[in-house]
Amino acid sequence: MDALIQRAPEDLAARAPAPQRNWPAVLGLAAGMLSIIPCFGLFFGPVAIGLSWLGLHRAPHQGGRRLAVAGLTAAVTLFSLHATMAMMIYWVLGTCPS
Amino acid sequence: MMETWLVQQQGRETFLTQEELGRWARAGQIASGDLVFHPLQGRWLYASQVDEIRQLVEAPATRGDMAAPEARGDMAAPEARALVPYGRAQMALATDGGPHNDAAIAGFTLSLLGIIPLFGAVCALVGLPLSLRGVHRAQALGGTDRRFAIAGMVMSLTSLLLHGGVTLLALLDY
Repeated sequence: MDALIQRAPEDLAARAPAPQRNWPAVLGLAAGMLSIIPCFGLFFGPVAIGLSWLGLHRAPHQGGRRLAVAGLTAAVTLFSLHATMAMMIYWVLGTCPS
Repeated sequence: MMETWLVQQQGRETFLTQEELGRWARAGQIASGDLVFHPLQGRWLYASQVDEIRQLVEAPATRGDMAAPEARGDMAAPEARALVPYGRAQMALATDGGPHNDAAIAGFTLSLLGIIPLFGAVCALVGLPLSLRGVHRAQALGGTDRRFAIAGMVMSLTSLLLHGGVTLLALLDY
């Protein structure tokens, strides 16, 4: 029995998988930070929010909750900034700034 | 560095920190017959042989005695729901079973965005109370993300001071 117990660990340890990475959270944070780019960054906002939200739901299994929360915060904030700026430009110019 | 423990129950394996291991043992979610991989000793032991949780697990009846998780109420626990069938591709890590300090992370992120001209002041204004809340929450949670909260607080204050100074200079110049 002891021999079995001593042999089992190596087998199981060798089979132990590498930790899975919460890629949606990582990509969400990256996209959230890219939202800081003027104009073009507007399109990263919804993508970042979606990815971070997905990452947040995967966090209990795969970790990366901090990344997901940071990505969500950055994306929502910067998307609000873009929306505010777009509205201000529209208000000042009286036309869509395309 | 935090050691990772591995618990095998009914052919399923779960990675745990020492804190989580203690919590599981206290909650009666680890039976004496469950196998636990000790990160320092580098070998598998029965739960009843692991010094860290020996007092917490039930008294061992016989070696290899594995009670069904359902019978112990394991599957009803939130942590236990993170268990997945064994498999390299399907193995999941129960890494976020601990307490969360989302306020600290959100405050830190907003304080980073405080670098943006003008709008950064708004980010810092929101980030500062969030970071303060994060510090208080970190104290309640035993230091979880305390560094993020303090960093967020410092950066928010710096950002606010810079924005205030620039605004003041602009007003004086005007």
